[in-house]
Amino acid sequence: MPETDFIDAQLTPATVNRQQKLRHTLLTVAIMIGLFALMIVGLVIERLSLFIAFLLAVALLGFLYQRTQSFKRRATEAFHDSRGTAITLLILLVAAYPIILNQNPYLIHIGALSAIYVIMALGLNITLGFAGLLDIGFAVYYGAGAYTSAQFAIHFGTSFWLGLVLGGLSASLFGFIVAWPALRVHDHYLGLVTLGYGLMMNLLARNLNFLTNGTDGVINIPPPSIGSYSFTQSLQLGPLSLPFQANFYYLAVTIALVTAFVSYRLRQSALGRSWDAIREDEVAARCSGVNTRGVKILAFSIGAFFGGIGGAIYAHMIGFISPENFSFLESMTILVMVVVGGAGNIMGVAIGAIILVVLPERFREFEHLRLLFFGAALVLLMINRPEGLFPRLRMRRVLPAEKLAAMLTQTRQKTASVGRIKAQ
Amino acid sequence: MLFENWAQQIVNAATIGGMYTLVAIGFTLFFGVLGLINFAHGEVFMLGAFVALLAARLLQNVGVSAGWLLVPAMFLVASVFCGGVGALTERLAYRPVRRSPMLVMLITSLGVSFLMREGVKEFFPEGANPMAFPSPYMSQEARIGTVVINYTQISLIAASIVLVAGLYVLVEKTWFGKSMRATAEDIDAARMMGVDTDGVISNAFFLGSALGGVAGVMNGLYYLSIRFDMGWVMAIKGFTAAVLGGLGNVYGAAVGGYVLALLEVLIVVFVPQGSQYKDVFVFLVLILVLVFRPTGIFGRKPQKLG
Amino acid sequence: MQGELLRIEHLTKNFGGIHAVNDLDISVGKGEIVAIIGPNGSGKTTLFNLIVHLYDTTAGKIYFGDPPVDIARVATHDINALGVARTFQTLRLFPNLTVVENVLVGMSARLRCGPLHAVMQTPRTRREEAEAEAEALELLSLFGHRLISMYNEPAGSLSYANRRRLEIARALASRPTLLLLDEPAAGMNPTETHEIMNDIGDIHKRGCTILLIEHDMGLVEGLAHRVVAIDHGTKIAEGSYQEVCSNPEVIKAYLGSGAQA
Repeated sequence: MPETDFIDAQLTPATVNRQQKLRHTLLTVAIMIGLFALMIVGLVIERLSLFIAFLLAVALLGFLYQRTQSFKRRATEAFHDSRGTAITLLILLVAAYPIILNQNPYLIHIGALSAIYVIMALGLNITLGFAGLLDIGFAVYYGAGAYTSAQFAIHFGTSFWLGLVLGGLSASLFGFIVAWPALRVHDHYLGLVTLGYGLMMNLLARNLNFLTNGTDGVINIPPPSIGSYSFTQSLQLGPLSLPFQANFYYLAVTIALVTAFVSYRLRQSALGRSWDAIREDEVAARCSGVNTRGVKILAFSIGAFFGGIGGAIYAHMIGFISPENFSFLESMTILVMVVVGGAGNIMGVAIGAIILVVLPERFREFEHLRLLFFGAALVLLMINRPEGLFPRLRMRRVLPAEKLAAMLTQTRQKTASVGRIKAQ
Repeated sequence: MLFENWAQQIVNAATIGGMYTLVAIGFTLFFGVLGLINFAHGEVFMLGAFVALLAARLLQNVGVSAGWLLVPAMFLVASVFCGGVGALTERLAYRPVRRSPMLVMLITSLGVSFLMREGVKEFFPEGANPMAFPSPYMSQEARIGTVVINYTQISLIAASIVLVAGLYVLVEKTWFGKSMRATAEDIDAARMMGVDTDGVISNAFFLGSALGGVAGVMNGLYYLSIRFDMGWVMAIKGFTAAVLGGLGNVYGAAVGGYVLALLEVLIVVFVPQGSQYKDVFVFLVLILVLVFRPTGIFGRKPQKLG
Repeated sequence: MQGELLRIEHLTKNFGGIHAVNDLDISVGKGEIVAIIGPNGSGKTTLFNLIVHLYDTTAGKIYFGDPPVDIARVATHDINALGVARTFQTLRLFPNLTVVENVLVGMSARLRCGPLHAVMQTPRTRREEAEAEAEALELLSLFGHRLISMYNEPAGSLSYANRRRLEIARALASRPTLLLLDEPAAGMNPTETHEIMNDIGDIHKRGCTILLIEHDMGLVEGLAHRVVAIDHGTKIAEGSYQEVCSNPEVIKAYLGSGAQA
């Protein structure tokens, strides 16, 4: 019987010998260093025409990678097997970035900015990617975080670190507020409600001068400091002196990594499963005991929290914010980051964020075409590859082989006995 | 408040309400046949105005400047062009994602709206700046007491009423109207009954977009100036009007447009600094209606769950 | 009343003029298997939707538990927490979640650990998750090796019969005292129907009270202690299987709809 064969195949655990493990680790390391080098090259290229050639080459590589199933499978296997190494290497490479580029403070600044957007995109990823809630007014949260942190620092002299937490909490509150009307509407209506919310908040920010200083914005936001060490000082790493942007870079990147980690844990948790459930079938979820209201409110609040954190870092890094920074365009940008990167996929969203910070910077002359490209990208993507560059991963559980084997033998006996009864 | 001021405001509301109505009808049609909130519809409205401007310029260049030739020409060109654009968008961008989850369709329509708006901004000569719009009848007016109503307003109000009446005839009395209603009710059943649902949807998009384009021309004639970004505010207002009347309910959209215009007028008159916060108010109305009465003033059949 | 788990009194539900459920009185005792039969459209699924409060009642009360509590206004997920679980006539699984995860979602009402615990992976969380997974696997094994062998596969890739079984496993995950099964054997061939009948019997023996909507009369006859016949939202007969099926009203209601075992 075919089904018995299946069981037997599962009983023999996958052999992982040392040689295979070593091969996997080496492949992973090679791929990661290769991609990292590619990224550095892309950043450092001066001439625009060369950069476009580079982009085409990368696109071609990506396309070829998608086509070759065998390599794709081997690479994915390798990464899953050597996850610890991959993460350690990631942290090392990320830490090495400013050191490698220490002659180029502008690129370090771009790195920091990318990390900030990674934080915010991951926040939206929780709301949209995990819980499936269309929030197209996300700029409200990072505006809230930025303004809260900035105003507290300026008027009450709070330290950046406290301001960071306050910013996150204030943004969370704004997420909480919109969650309530959002609970009563679905799908497209939800998009409209969040859109309206974003527009309303932006308008209020422009007009409530006593809170936000209106369209003049808030200036002279103090940079973060640890004790007497201010972030505007250049960073000394032993014999090496890094430009001050490196301070912000390390701060943002650390928080981005923490955000990714928290996202990952949330996705694995019961809450993450509840989000999956309401995304797939809300009615069935409710009947299965999922508190859909509570779970949605959490999605909005947690996502907003990270938006606020990103906003606070941004405010203290740039030193100046205004309602312009938190417009519909910004909400759209973050939405595109999540959708293009791959809603629900943490790594995808992070990469989407980085791409959408770096590319507009490189193509600064074409700033006015940005929305045009977004539009084209969105339409093409939705028609051809709506899941984004990196589709959502399916959570697979790893049952210890012996346990599975025991269960299967047990249940196979039961099925056999039922079969016997039926035959009588 | 003096009666004359009221009357003046009502006239203004009637004019603007007509525009809202035409845009709202488009939204409600698209939602009815596809279940789609077409974010790009506001941009179609804008395209109508711009293409009418082009037509007017062209005609003026060949020496035509008579109002009674220019204005109908603008309406005609705008309605045909926008209808075509609407049907084309449906065919190219929305049909491929018709069976995808709602989120995908929404994001697609967002993308299309960007393409249209930014496309005009980039490629229309001087697109990024506000453009003067010819309005041959603006100076001619009629007076009833102190109430001033210019010919443009008269024609706009008349045009909206005619169009809505025509729509009524179309929806109720014609085979096309019946097929549209059937498709909106249950697309699979309609198809099994022999209705060419793809055709119906295309036509619905043509119709809704054409009306949107006409509204764009009206907007230009009324305000004498158009901008590449005039679309999205109108989209929100038109959509609010459609929701007020009940999404999917064409007559509701007609009523909703005028109701919204009336509400706006009331805000401007009674709330201090009302004209500044007019738009915020509309957003608020939208959110409130969506949350508390998503089926609109008239209500519709509730959704089945189990 | 003693030993009564569910009591429905004068339950009425109108949908804009249509009486989907009309002054219904039904009672289910602890440990009973009660079957609801009736032609299509007679309001049976609406009844289930009302019990779990997916719809608001127009009138009437729904008492559940001992001591009885009126759950007509209680939130759906809380009703699940109180011990009522259901399956769906049209099968509503989470197709992209794995088999095991579908069952785990069924435990949502019981899992106590919140997001903060989850992020920090406290010992309490790890224990709770491990226990949940063990219980989920045990529930899957109720159906032999069929579901267990697919535990990591997406639910949407299962065969139709397996998906029905999985839905029952998910319902059982919330440890219900009352299980509402909406046409569990719909679309199954005779072998599968026989198996599911045995499975439901086993579930009943584990201590579950069952309220069952079914068209397959063989299954009804084999399982139900009592049968309630409904037509156009009204109860037209109640009693043992023999009594109800020989009732002329019931036969009249079924004439023309062709629903036969």
